[in-house]
Amino acid sequence: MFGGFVEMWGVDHSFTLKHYIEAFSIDWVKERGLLWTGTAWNSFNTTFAIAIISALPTAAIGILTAYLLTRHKFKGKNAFEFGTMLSFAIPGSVIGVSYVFAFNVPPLEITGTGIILVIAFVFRNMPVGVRAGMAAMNQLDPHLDEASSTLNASSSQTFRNIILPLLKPAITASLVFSFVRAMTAISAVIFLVSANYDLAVSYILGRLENNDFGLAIVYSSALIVVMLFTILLMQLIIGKRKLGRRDQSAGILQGNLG
Amino acid sequence: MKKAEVKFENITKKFNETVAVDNVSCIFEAGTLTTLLGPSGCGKTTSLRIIAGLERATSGKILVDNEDVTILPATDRDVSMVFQSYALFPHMSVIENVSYGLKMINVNKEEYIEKALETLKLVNLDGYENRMPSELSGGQQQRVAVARAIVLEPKVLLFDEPLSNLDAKLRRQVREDIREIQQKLGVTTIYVTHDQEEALAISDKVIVMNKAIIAQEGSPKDLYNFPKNKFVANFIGDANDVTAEIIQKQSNTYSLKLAEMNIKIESNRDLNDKVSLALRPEKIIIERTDNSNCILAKIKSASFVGSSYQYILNSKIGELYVVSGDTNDIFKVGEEVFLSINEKDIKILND
Repeated sequence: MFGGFVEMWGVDHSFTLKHYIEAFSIDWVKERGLLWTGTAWNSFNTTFAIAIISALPTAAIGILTAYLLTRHKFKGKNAFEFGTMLSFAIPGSVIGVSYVFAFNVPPLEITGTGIILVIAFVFRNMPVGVRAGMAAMNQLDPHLDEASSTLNASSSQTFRNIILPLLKPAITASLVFSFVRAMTAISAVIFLVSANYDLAVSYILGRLENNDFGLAIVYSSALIVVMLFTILLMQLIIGKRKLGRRDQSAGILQGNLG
Repeated sequence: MKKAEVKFENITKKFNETVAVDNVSCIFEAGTLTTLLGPSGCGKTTSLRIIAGLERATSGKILVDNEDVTILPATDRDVSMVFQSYALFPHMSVIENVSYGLKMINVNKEEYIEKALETLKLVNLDGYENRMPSELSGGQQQRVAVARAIVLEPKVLLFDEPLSNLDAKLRRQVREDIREIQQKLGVTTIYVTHDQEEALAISDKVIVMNKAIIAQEGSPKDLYNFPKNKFVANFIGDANDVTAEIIQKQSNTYSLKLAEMNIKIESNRDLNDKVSLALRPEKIIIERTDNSNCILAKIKSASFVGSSYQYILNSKIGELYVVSGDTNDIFKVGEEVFLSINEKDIKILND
């Protein structure tokens, strides 16, 4: 943080805002309205948009997969469970390169677009959604689903009314995780970025290579602050599960005492 | 409320290679409370879940109200269940829990709220509608679970060991409440328990299950007084299993010798040389004097349990367990005594 407010860290420690201005300046020009003139805006906006866009399917697919894996029996379940973990085991740079080659030819010619970034993030971060979902689902009494189904609810109604509200903590966890990972991932995306879709980390890396430390530090500090606020906002939107005024362990204790 | 008969026709349920229910046929009569009683792993809960539609029978048919529901999923069956863990939805208030089933079938809001409140009144929980389940005691949660099941006016009401999470004192109260509600509504009720006292206290009919089959079915009194086999004799109340020798047979009257005691007993069955008998511990009388035709025994241990004394005695026919209501005149360990029993209280077992 300190490095962002000085001329050059380690050499000239006089206070300045010039790095912030260079990275995040906004100009108002009469004919053309608001201008995002800072050099970081382009990659920053792309990163933020792609991180948000990929967080949603990551959490959704993760939670749905977790539901399938914990509540339904089918052949090849173990293999499927293992498969969901695989993308976590492969080094990011390998994934990045293989995505470039796989999607460089028709029918799916998406190398260099934003879509490939989203897809890479979704599949790379999904295992965490699956694991968070499975851990939370295993804590839920399976009798809750059964009670719901004996009370005339179809399985989709049960999922919507019973399981989803009780999985809120897991949903928040996987949203936050995939968002943060997408904002900060480096190994996989370094091969996937293009001029149109540059990401924050590769931009920062570029600045560092040019000895432009001040700008890199400024950008990193900005990312930290933005991620913090986004995470808080996510928690606010998803909300907490409401289980009564007492916390649940106290409730269970009370139940046992009769 | 609707009354429906539930019928099992040759129901078998296998989990992989394990047979949980083995070719069981039985009838749960309309408007009555029938208990499935048995030790854990006997198939009683699986049977209940088959009725609820939570398990699919491997083979056989299940009829509710003469309609074949074998392949209907739980959602489409007119059957409600109260779970052992209550399975209240922890994120919903009491009223939301109770009205959940009505909401799912698109009853309009005014109507389902009114109905839910009415049902809460029936289980004595009016005033609790806005509490969360975690703010209720175990007994209250249990009543919410019952209310949630009966608000739908199901054809069949199922209970899966509903009292096992309650303390002993509360259990008696709640089982009376359940019986009262069942009688008031007249709904066909099937109740699973492993507690024989509970089963005898509330049931019209008890079906005793053991090792995936029905061991015996009948009214509580019949099961206690006329157990067919060792398992039922031991499971319903306590029993001493003894073997007597047959000395003489005249048409269907047998003369038996049980240790030093001679007894005459009637049976339509064809018996040879030996027969298994069940003696209830509270029916055996311990005396200090020999009133002829007694069993000689020696007190091995005596324990005071409040309302009675429990003795274990050594005799020629093995160890006998005897309960005596007399807590004033106590027999000492090592004392030699004479046991007698009324011939009417001796039951012949099949095995």
